[in-house]
Amino acid sequence: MAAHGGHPATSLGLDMRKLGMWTFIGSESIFFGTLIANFFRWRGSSEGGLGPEDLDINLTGAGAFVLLMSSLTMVLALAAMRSGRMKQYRLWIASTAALGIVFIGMQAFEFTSFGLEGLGMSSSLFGGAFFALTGFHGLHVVVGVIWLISLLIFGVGRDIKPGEQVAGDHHSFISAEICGLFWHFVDLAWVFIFTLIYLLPSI
Amino acid sequence: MSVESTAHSTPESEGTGHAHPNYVGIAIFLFVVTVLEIVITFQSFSLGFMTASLIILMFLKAAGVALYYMHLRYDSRVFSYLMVGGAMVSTGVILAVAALNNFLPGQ
Repeated sequence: MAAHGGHPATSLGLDMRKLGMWTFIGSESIFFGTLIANFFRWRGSSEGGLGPEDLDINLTGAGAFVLLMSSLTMVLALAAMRSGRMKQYRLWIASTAALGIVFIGMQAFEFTSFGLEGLGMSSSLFGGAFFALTGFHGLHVVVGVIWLISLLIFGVGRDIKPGEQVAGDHHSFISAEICGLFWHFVDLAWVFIFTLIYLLPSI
Repeated sequence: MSVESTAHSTPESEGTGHAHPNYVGIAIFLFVVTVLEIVITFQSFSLGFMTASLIILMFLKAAGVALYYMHLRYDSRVFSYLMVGGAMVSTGVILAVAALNNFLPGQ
């Protein structure tokens, strides 16, 4: 079985790093599913404080747009790397990280606002469930931003010559691709969280 | 038979990988669906219609991201199985908690 850029292929002929990331994504889907289920269980237990009807759809809607845009910049980065346009690749990766930081800022603002109004992890069961879900999602975004910045700092793709057509199993491309998969999953999780946690309770 | 041979590919994609979708077009689609979701939230339609609409739109967006941005449409089906498997367990957990707490319709 041919190795992929020095990494031995799995018995399925797939890159082990990519297979590992997809396995991780599958497990993270279950993790977020349990957090969403927990939120549904306790969303009515605001105990007189802030509840699901007080969530700010405008701010989180803007956050949804920011994350969707960051997914676009991420795929554009990989497309640029594929055709050896490394300057554009680095620009799109930096843009993705910047949008991620914007999203984190929005989340921090939301959490601070809620904190000032008395909603916290231990203020009510609703608060605990809400912050567990959105907090873990925010943590994933932070990890993703750090990963994106590390792609730039450690020069992933510096072995690619300008204009070089990069194959899908090129080791640098896969390094960037698995970061992209993680980032898209973070966006995917927010697609569900935004609708189930923010929009549905508001109708 | 290699599992990779089950991945979708076109002649022009061989050697450089799979064909690339219109990423900007997909982004526009996702933005429009998001706007639609927010607009529906502020309308006065029946609760059942709005709930069903929002859930359908949510899955449309998820499909767009998973199939095209995460390249599930063009990649090995093993990755799709891993993703869908996790999603099915996740959905089962949500439904089980809903059923246990009498949140399902009709309970």
